[in-house]
Amino acid sequence: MVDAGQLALIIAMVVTAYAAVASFVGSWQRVPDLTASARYGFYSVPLLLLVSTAALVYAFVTRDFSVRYVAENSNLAMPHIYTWVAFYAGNAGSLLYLALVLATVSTIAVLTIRKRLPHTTPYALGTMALILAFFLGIMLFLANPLERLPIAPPDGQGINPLLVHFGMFIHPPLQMAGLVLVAVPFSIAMGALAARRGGRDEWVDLGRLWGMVSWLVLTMGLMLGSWWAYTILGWGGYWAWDPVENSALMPWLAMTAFVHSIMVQKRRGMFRMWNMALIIVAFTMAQMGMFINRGGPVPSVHSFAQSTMGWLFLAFMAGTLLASIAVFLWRYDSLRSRAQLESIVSRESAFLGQNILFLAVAFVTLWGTIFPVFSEAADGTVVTVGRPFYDRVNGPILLLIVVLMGIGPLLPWRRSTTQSLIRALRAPLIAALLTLVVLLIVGVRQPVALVAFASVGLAVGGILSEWLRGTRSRHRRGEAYPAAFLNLLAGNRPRYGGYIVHLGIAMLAVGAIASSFFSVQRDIAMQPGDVAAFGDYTFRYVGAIHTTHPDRAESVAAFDVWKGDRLTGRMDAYRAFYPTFRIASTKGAIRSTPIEDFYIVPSEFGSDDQAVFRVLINPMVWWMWASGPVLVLGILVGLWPSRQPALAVVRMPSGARAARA
Amino acid sequence: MLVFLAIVLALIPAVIIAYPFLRRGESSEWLDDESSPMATLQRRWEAALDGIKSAELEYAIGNLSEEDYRWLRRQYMREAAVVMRSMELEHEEEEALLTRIEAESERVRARVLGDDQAAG
Repeated sequence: MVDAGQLALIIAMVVTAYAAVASFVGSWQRVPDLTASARYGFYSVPLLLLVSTAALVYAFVTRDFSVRYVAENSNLAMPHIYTWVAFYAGNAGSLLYLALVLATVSTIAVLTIRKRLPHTTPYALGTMALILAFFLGIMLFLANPLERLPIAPPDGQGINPLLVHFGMFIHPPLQMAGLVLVAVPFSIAMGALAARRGGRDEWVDLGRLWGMVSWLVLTMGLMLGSWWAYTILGWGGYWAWDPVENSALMPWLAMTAFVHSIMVQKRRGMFRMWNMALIIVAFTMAQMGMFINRGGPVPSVHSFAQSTMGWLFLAFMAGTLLASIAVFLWRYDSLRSRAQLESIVSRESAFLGQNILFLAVAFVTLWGTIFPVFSEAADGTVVTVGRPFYDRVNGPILLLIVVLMGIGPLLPWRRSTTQSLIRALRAPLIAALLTLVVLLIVGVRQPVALVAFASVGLAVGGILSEWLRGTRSRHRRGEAYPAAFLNLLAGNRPRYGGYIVHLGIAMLAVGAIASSFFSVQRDIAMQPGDVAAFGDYTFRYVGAIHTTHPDRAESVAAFDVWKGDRLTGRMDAYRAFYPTFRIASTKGAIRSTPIEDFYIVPSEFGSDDQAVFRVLINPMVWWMWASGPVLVLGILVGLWPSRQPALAVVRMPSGARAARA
Repeated sequence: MLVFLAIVLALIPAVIIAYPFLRRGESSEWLDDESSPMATLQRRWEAALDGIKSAELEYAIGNLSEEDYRWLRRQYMREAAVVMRSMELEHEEEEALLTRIEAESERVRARVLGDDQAAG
């Protein structure tokens, strides 16, 4: 089975390389049979990679430690359910996973664009195939997941214990898929550009669709990663501005700018060059993420091992960037906009402003991420950039983005008079003011926090007031309120889907602002039976239970917790030590409510079960995790195909007829 | 066994790749260009129609003043007229398209204000 997987991998590489060359040559030379052959060949690649994947899974399940990757990422003690995690836990397996995802999604993308963009498709397919060939080449020559060991060990090394968590079943695959899926809208854009169709707008709808898909996957990957960090890394936070976290955030920021900006091209035929530049930046940043992840020079707590492979990713990134710029310059003339910005007070301007701010955050984050490399090159000292830098620089920009998120959708396209501006902004400004007053009444005095919450209030106020007005209008015509609201949303899904996403972002912002400004923590040494108080909480350390497993020593500390006089229940804080890996893994005991999280993390247990516990009160973090489903819902509503009445079928003009003939 | 597997695995993509060249008498053809003048006009028409619908929606919701609404509607109607002229339509066809614009505007208003069943 393993040998069949190896063969399938080699054949997949050959077929992908053929698809790339045949697609480009067939398109240049206008040989339709050649491009069709390339396309059919490309369709077979996911099946071949599925055979390789099945071979690797089979090796895991049968404990075939003669396969190096299986020996390095599993052992006899590993439950079969973790085979899925072990599949992508190491460098080689994750590359196979990436290749499988890219091949499958690219095939689906080609099927969706083939008929609507016949001249763009061969170039897009060629680009996708080139990117896929790079991953397959790396796998075949540097990190083969199906490579055999000369002598099979009796047992494997086991899976990294930090990956033994429910979040790990979803976060890494989504995160990696999100990064690699940026290749799909990038390839469509480059295909349109190469085919001299970038300056016309036919690719926009499908580019946007695939941009949204990759944005959604990236978003979910980031959120699940934060959730994993919060619950298992045991430091009480969810975002540490770690290089690997940053490397996923940067393409997300660029893609967020892209999915907004592409709307302007669709509606107004503007920003054609800008959108091409944005998708090139997004893809470059996604590759930067893979470079950092695969042994780049920046230290991170959760990247793969350092290896020369990282530099190949860097070289590939440089190559694709240069090639993209070359195609951009080659087709520069075809990218002129159909219209121009008519007023600074318009939705287009808001999109442009928001785009610039997103890119500013992305580049600030990039600078902070690669700064240690520059500092080392300058004077031999590695200086890492920490949270204060990002808070100080990115914080205000993110706040401005939230403000624009509130104002932008309420501005009309093209221009707005003062009268319209006042009409549109009246409700959001009142909401911002109300937020401010309420917060002052409840005792919030931090000026920056007040401004931040007021900005979120402004964004939410705009959305809710529009929904309220629309629902009331429909209700006055006889519809019940729930039906009126749902019909309103169904009437304009892209707009209101976007609003739901914005609400999700506002929820995320509430959690981030509250926990950034008002989290408190204390380290408390306790023995069984001790009672301590922190904030409104009183907690009694009941005791610890220790168990030994083949791969780890586990301790669970139990606490009875009261809020005020009310017993809220028992909480268990968990710690395990994995001697093979010399890694301690902790799971905080978390009591989560929309108001605040009460969070206990144990350190090492001493004699008589004495231990130091880190206790935290993190306000409103619950809202961050609750925003995930809201974001997904918003995207689904926005992308759900609506039944549009067919537009008038028109005759072809004589000029066009002559051109076709 | 391995040889048999190798042959099967290699043969499947080889046949698929060769298929377009082996088809007798039905060679692939370039499909119509997505960027034909017709397609471009169609997109511009859709953009103008979307603009009118958007102005209707903003006005119905109350985000747009009367002055901005009228200006936007005029601009988009002008663009729609330019597209119609380029399409070299007969008078009746132009009338049908203008009626369609009005129907679309009414549909948007109805979606915000209710009664969309009737309007649709």
